Amino acid sequence: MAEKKKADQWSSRWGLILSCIGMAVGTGNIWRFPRVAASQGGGAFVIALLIGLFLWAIPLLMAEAVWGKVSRMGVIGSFKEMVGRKWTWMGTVVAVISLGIAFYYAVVVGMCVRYFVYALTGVIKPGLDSEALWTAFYTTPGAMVPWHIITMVAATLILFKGVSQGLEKINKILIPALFVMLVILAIRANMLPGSTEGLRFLFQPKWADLLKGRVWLEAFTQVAWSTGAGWGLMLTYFVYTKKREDIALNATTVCFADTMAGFLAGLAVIPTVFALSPDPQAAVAAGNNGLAFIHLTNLFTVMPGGVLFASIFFLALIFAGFSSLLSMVELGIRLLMDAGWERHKAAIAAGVGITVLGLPSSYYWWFQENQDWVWGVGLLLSGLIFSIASMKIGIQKIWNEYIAPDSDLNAPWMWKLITLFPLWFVIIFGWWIKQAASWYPESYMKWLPISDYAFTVGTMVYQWAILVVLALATNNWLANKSTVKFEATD
Amino acid sequence: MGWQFNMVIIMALVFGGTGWCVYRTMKSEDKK
Repeated sequence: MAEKKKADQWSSRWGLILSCIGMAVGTGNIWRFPRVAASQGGGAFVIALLIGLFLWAIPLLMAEAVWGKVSRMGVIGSFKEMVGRKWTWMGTVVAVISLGIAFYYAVVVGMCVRYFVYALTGVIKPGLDSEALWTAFYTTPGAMVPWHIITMVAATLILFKGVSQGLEKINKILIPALFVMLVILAIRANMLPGSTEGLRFLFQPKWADLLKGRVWLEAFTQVAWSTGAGWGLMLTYFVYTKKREDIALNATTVCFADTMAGFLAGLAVIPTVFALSPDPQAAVAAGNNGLAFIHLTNLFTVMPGGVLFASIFFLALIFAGFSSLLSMVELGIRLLMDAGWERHKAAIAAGVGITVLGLPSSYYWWFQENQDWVWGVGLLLSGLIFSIASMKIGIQKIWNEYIAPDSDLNAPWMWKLITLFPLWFVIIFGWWIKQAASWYPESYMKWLPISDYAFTVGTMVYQWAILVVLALATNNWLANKSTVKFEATD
Repeated sequence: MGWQFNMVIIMALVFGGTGWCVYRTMKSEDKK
């Protein structure tokens, strides 16, 4: 029988919702959504994405919320409590995939901090060679390390203060400020001469694109990465909810707010690119880093008031990324607290651990990209685990006992769509495997050295296999360690 | 059907969906 311990919890529902939105809205909303939406049919992509929210993200987030709220334990302990002791390894797999992302995501947020400082100190000015600046920063071993450490120190200090005094307070500032900044950027972008071309590009009716498989695959991929569904982060936040908390409505709110953030970023980024770039299509096709750190940075140097808007843009990226990073570090803290660690010690241990394990990604850009590939696609595996575990417990039972009693949304169909997840897994994972195999036609199963085979199928399969073997081997040990539940006070 | 009409439809779905969720949350908080 697990021992119970009182935890500090969310002081208000809005604090919980804003923190969950902070968890979901990340850098991907700002630099991935606009360029993928623009290149995949604009309006048609958004429609496919909204459908994807219901088919994929909302049911998965609901499952996570049930796990956290019912078990009152972090990812590993929650699987032990919900599914059974011998299935603890499932929680270990989900937790390690999220932590694997946290290790390099802290570096990505550090990169945004570096560019914010570039903007504040006047480096982003007319005549700047933004490509040279980026290449020097990104490919010089060790250049990202100090910014990674600064980011992690800040995250650790906030989480040291706990849920209501640290996490909730900071998210109540970060998230409203983020939306205000996105609105300011969107208004400014649409006042630029020529920006209408960007809106036209984004919204030109291309409804026939809804018949293209690629649009749906990109929309579902965006849903998987952007909403944080299946990461175990919503689960961790729901450990600290009050006894009565609406799971269905909160999950839906988080997903729509996440889409709105991406959409606002699209209204800011695409018109800016079309108004100022000599080759807008190249900017949109340049990838996440290329768009933000090379093309947009270059455009800020020629935009009237560019320093101010570069500062706002990179600050928005930091707020979006940092609020997501906090949830990943909290996931690690929660795991240690389940094992009986006191919060302060757990915060320092998780902060130091993620900083140290993030060093390879902050030192070598190819390692960072490899980890992004391996654990980014690994999120599909996490989603599959939640779906299978839900079916094992009983879809109707979960709705009746855990979701419906406190839900204002009487929509069991939204929850039951989680049963379709294995189908989406096969389609999306199959698509990624097919793509990755074509990148290395002769050697797609090779994985060492990582610098030569960063995006192979092999590097993903082997690292996943190592994780699953270790999770199975440590099943009983971790089940024994995860014993401390947290009890909500009302 | 021009791109402006398309933009209005998409905006209505995204902003309307979020607004509806926020409205339902506020309503349920008022009941408590």
